Amino acid sequence: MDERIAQLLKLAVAAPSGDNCQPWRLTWADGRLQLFNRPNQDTSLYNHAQRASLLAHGALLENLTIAAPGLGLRAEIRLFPDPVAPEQVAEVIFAEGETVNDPLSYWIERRCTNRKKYVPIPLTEFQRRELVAAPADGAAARVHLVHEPDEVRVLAALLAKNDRLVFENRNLHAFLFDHLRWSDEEARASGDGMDIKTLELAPPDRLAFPLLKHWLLVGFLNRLGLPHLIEHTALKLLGSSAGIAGVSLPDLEPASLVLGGRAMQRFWLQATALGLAVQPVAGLALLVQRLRSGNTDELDEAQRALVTEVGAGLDRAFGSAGRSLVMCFRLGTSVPPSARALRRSVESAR
Amino acid sequence: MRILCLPYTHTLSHISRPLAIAAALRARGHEIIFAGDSPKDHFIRSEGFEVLPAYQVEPDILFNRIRQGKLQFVSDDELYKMIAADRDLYRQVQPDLVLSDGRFSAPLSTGIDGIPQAAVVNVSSTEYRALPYIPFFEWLPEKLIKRDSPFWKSLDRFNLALEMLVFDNAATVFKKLSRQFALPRTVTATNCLAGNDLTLLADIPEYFPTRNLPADYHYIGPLTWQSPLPPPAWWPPKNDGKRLIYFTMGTTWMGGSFTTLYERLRQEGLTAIIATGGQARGLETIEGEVYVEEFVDGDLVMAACDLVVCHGGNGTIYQALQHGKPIVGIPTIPDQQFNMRRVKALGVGESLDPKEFAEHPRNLFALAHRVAEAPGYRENAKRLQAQLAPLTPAQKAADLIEARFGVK
Ligand SMILES: Cc1cc2nc3c(=O)[nH]c(=O)nc-3n(C[C@H](O)[C@H](O)[C@H](O)COP(=O)(O)O)c2cc1C
Repeated sequence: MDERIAQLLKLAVAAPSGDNCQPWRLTWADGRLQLFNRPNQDTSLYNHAQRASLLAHGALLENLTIAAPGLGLRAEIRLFPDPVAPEQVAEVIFAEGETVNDPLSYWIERRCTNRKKYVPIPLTEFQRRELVAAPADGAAARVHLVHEPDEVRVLAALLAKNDRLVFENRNLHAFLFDHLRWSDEEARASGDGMDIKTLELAPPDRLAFPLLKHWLLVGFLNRLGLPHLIEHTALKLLGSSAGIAGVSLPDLEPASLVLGGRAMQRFWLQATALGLAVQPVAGLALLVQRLRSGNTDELDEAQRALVTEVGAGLDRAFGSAGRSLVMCFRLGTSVPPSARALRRSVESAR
Repeated sequence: MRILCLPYTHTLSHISRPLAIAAALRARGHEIIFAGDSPKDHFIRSEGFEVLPAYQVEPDILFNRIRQGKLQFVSDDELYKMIAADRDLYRQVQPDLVLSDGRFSAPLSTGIDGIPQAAVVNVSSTEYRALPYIPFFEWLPEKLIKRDSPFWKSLDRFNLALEMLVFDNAATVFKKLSRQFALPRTVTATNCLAGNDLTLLADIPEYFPTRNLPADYHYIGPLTWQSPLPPPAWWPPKNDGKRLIYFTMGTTWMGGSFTTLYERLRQEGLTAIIATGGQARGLETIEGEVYVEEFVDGDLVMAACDLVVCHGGNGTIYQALQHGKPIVGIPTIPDQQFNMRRVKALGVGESLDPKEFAEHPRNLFALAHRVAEAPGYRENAKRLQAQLAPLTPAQKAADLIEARFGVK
């Protein structure tokens, strides 16, 4: 394999994915790169119809596209080249091209999820303009950015319900705890999932958190008001944001989701370049779309009602009615995260 | 190096210092970009520098707070907004170094983004000043405690500790942000005008002594405003042997009193040149008696005059001393009060309370005559003039910047 391709792939897999599940497989043959989805990497409710994974694939492809010209290559991407193989997300052909550095490429390996409490230094006009314009020209994906403190508070209250759902729903709970890595060694050994340190828990919470692995205990604690506590903590974090952003798509076709993932990644890289800390708060948006697609499994009546209500609230706050909101982010100013999520090596992604 | 200059561009003193240093650095091949948002930015542009827009706190708001003795001189929201604006500039300019003067958000914003920062500042605005800013014990009679006694020195030190503590606790946002961003240097209200990596003191030790000065703080000497203005049409003044007094009230005059001043002058048998700083309208020049200009070239007028009457701004005082001229000051803010205490202590002039001036404008003239006449003030001013003459502050600043941050 061309040294440059190896370099590119390393940058490509710096892409984010739900709970860092890295749902991709890459093969290189005959000068072509094939990108496959691995549907079993993410079996959570969030990933209905592989939507979260397709967003991650979009991010990976955007990294490739941004980084290639810096190495004198041009990436030509064909999405879903085989109509009967939905797992084959893309085929990429590289052509020799001019060597030019895309300013966003510097940020590919610096982008990360930052779950710390932010300092609510307001977004400047310059930042807001750049963020909204982050998706490439003509992209169907749209960035909705809310920065007025009152409106941020409304969205924070809606999105904070996500964290409580994680402790009220067995599937969501299992997905989170399956992907937590409790020590540096464990994180390094698996190369995926999330180092517990990336959750930025306050010291007492950090001590109690391993206990919450046990669903029976969680069920018991839920009766004592655990979800309230969790929601309250989430609200504090979300409330520290200088802005909350959403990414919406015109439809939820697989190709649209991949393109949406590309736009999401540009947004995230741009935010990083602007000196902003970013955390996706995507769970509820994805659950809303799942429910709207008619899938009601695994959510009880109260949870369905909650998701429906939040969906309406999000569309109102973002002005995204008529479109499909697939991602939400909180933004602010912060120290760097305590730890970074690792990646499996490119070789093992083949 | 690409250097971003962040002065508080609403006051000329904060413009002139980085401007002089910028010119020296440009001559050495560095690229300099300024940022600001005041009508005075044209002074920077006219020197051929680019000025990018940047949010600043309006001067009326800022100076009113200072005049009213509000210790919290900036609100949290304003500071947040300044930090955000700074950081936008860093994205646009990608500077190797930020050089600030009067921009108190700079140590925080550069700290957050890990950009080296130098600052030009007066000793009075550092935590290493050896003299109190607000003297709590001045009321104690000299007879009781000699000012050069060890006990007075301990009082001074106690005074310093106390005033810094009070000040820092009035504007805790600096400390809070330093903690939140885990900055290597804890920024406080007291040290927020200093540099994280290099601090250039636009003072001389005799005028403003320090104690325990760290290695990254350096005296460079005063950088006074070099006016680009041509001499006024009427120049030179025709004072026919009468005493020539230069009234320069900067750009932060209390207002209202110019007319009083003007009326009195005509009865005093002096010749006066008044620089109004654009704060008075409708006053006309009367040949041989009163010359009125909005702005004049201070060096030109100072060289010719017998006495300088001012508010006690740091720049004006140094400029007067560079010309060996005695000073009468009417200080209106703590900074000017401080400067005037130094002027008195060094025997180069006297101070008049603004209230006294408003009630008895004649007292100003009595004082002016006295200071102009007594040779001691002039001699002391000449002595300091000799100290200031060999200094090359802009070149020294450029040397220090290159030594610390590299020449490339
Ligand atoms: C589609 C998608 C949804 C995500 N949802 C969340 C979320 O709801 N909460 C969260 O904290 N992180 C979320 N993440 C962030 C991932 O957990 C993160 O990208 C992954 O752990 C890798 O870490 P990194 O972003 O620091 O590289 C999401 C990421 C993607 C791509």
